[in-house]
Amino acid sequence: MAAEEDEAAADAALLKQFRNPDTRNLAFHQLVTKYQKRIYWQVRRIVIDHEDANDVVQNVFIKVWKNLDNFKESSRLYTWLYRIAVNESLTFLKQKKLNMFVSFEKVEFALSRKLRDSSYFKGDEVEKKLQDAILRLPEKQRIVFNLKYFEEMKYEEMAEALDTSVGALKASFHHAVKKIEEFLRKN
Amino acid sequence: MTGKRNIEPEKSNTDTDRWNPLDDAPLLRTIPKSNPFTVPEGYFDNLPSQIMAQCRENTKRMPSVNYNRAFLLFKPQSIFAVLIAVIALSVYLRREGNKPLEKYESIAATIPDSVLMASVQNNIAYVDVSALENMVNNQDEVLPVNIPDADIQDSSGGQIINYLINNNIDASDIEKEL
Repeated sequence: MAAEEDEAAADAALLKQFRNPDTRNLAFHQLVTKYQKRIYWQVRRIVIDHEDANDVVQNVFIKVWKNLDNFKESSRLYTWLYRIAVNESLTFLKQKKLNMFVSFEKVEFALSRKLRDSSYFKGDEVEKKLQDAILRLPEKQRIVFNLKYFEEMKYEEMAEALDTSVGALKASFHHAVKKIEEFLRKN
Repeated sequence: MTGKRNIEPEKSNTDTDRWNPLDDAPLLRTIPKSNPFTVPEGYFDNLPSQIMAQCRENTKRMPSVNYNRAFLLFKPQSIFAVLIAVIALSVYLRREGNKPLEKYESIAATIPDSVLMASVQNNIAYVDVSALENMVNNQDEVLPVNIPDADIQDSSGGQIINYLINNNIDASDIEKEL
């Protein structure tokens, strides 16, 4: 709890620096350094490919740069960043779907193939199976599973980031775990 | 079925800390929770600088970006407006092209008679006057001259008798000669 309060205080200080034209660039550089890994891994788990993740992460931070002045401190900075990252990732996948002119399921298969061919994936066969199972989940369940299982994010924070209720998130996570378990049993 | 659906979320809402779906997923629990993805070496060292460079570039280009956005926003409407204008113009020209006579008649109707007469007199120079005079003076050459023959050819018996009387010619003399 104290760590969370410290982080909130540090974010508030960063925002104050960002609003000062003299320290604006320095503050933003610090913000990117602080959150780049968390944002990158969140995006990477959705879009799978490193190059795609790199493009999306850059878009996320450019959007943050443009809109940080309008950020209301009623919500926490990193939940706001997560929300932008999730939205940008989903927009990217939609765009990809349009470009490929195929159904969403086929994009998922394309992502699965990419996962196997990627040189930036060091997981063994079981981990590949788990990623395959995650890719077969519906969009919302996939995001919820990644945030809860890998990031170990609290439901309350997820609710803030994804603009939904805690109950809905729990249900989504429950369904996601059931489907993954079923996939692993069959394969 | 409906009752079961209502019970499950209730359980999850009231038992936030203890309830964990992973308890019912033994296979999933055997998989290590490590991150199987990797990035190129030094990627996170360079990313902030790359992002800062893009942000600075973005700030510099801001006015033109806004202009381009506005242009893109109205582009479809502009194309549509131009298309409508082209279609309307082609329809108008086609309709006008189909009735040129009506157009000239309507223009002529607006010109007073006096102006029309003056225009004809002024343009009389275009007529060959000497040719007209020759036609009038040489009218004999133009008209047929062998009128008696024509009369004879078309004359009846009464006219022949009148001719013989007027010229004191005796019919018996004619018979003798024949």
